[in-house]
Amino acid sequence: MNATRQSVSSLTIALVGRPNSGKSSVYNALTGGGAHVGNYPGITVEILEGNVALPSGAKAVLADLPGFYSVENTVDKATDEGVARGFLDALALDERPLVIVQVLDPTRLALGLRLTAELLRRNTPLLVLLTHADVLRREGHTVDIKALEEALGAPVVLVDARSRTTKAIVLAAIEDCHRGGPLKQGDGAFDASSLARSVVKDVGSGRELRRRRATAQIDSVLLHPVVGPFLFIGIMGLLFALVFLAADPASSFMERLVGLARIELTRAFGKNLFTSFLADGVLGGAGTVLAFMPQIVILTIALELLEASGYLARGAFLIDRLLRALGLSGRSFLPLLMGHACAVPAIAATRVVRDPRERLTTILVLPLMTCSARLPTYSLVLATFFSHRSAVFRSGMFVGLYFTGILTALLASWVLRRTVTKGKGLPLVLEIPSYRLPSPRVVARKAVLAARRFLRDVGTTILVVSAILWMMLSVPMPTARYGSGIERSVAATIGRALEPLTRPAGFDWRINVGLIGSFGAREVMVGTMGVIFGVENAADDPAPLTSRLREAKKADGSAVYTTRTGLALLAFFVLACQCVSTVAAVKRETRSWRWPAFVVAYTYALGYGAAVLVYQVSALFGIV
Amino acid sequence: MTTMTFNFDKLHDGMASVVLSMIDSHRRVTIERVDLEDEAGAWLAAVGLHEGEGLVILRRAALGGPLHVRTSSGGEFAIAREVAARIHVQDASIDTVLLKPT
Repeated sequence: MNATRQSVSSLTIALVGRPNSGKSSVYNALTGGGAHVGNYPGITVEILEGNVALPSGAKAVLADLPGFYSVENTVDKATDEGVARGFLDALALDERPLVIVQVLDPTRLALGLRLTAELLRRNTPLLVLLTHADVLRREGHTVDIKALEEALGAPVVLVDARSRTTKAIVLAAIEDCHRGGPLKQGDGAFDASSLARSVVKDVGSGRELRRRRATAQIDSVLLHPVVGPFLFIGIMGLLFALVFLAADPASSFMERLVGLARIELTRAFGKNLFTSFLADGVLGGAGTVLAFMPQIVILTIALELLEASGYLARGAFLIDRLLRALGLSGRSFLPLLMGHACAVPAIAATRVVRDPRERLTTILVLPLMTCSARLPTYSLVLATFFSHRSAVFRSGMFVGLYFTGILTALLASWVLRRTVTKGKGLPLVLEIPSYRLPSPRVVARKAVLAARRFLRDVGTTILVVSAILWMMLSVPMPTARYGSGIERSVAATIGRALEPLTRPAGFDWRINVGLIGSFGAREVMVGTMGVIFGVENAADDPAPLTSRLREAKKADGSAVYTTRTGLALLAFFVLACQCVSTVAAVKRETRSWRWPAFVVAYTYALGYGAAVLVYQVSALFGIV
Repeated sequence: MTTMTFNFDKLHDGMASVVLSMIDSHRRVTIERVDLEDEAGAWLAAVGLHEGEGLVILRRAALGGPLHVRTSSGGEFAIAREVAARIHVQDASIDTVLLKPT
């Protein structure tokens, strides 16, 4: 809640509940899906809030807290429990009017009532909202609401969040609760299991058993000890391919749109430095942002479908053992897989990892996965220095580069979990939810929110850095005395200054300029090298550039670039995080500049070290 | 000579308990106590795994992966083996319990 926006007396409604309790559907029903990110001091996790009008006409703010199990037993401040507790404590300290609405799945009533007991002990007005009324009915159960209200000492409402009448019923109950209501609030001294047993009545002659059997049948296949993991990896692989296949036409369309705008801009204002800045610096950056957007939206939809259907938790169960040895868990698998296409949506996908240290570790190692942006440079290097080798050899090199990325990431996560992100992790106890049909409205809302968040947090950083990089590559250095065009640029001056540092890796100033240019995006490397060597459209047809690179000679007639240079360049590209979009995504997800700086520092150190090692050691093996 | 297959602990009431990680699939047990640090144990209780709660082991993931259990409160959980090794349980019934689709 923004202090400047909210009057002191306005009511805050905190929507709380266990994960998978149906909170998102209730939030959607009450707000119509509208949401903005609240500003709560001391809370580092995004808390969405929306405005609602109570039946009396009074306005209230509905805050959607992350799903959690307990407010009394906080394992870590960064966990969902810690965030919820921090939020409720902060509001209590400010003495702001607050009603807690606990969303509870009545098909697992006893589990939810344990949290109810904790919430009652906080002495804050509490409304218990039983959702999934439709599922309860289908399972042949009913809840004795009156008996439950009396036992809890708190009002209880049973609704189906998808019903049109839900909003009016719940808002009226919230207002009643805020005004005091007829019940004297209880102290939470009840036995959750006994209470649940006494208020839930079976009226459906074993319908629940039939549902359980159906679930057991599906689980016997999906969670089979041998078939299950293969199915999971297959489904994830398919999903990963679908996300990028489906996003590809949309991304190409966005890029074409930006390309057209660049052409029109140049036509309108002619070729000059200012037009180049707008067309290449600003619009180039905008193109990168828009090209990522379809991936982010489609990925969010896919993840939400997996999460809401109950399969993601099952996948984590299957793959957990493998990743546990590396300090990660089954929940990290999907982001790590996604990282092979692009680290930006993969970093967003780490939100499925609940343990904060594990999530941070996954974010920190994701830039090491071989994303698609590395491929143009790999192709250029292989075509330049290994064109005389067989296609099988070159394919083997490609596979080797992929596996180097994977192995380094896994090794890095092992090291990080014992150093930078060491500490007690949450015990792996994961609730396996029932299979449910995801709500299209909830999924759509999450996709819109993800797109907005990406534009705001990542998009702006990409634009700014893109503009800065354009200036470095295009604006001549006042002190530059020789060369023309890019040779006199700020980047070229820096590239020359860096030569003593990069010479042990076999890099000269031209490669350094390519590396500076590709900090914005790896795929820029080929184009930048093309500009330096006077090859037009090198990104589309790199063949002339490969010849120029091979033919480049030093003053003594020896080749500037050798196979060793190519190998060192590959080593650098496998490891260094040359992607401002990734850096911006890390910043957004960790909400600090410390971790993106760490990612850049450690991956560049690794990349540089590996490049020097490869260049020097390959000489010992007689490679020239 | 007696061969001990499980890590039995003597309980206060003289009964023997075994850790959850040792229990075969499809058996019904009751949580006797949880040997975790106070905070983690309390969190586990809040999640729904506390003393007195009945469990059925539905399946085990391959290669020493987590256990899939259902609690008497109706919740289903994946529990890492190392956590399950800290949960002491009592065999509640010798009967093999359902949960295989019929």
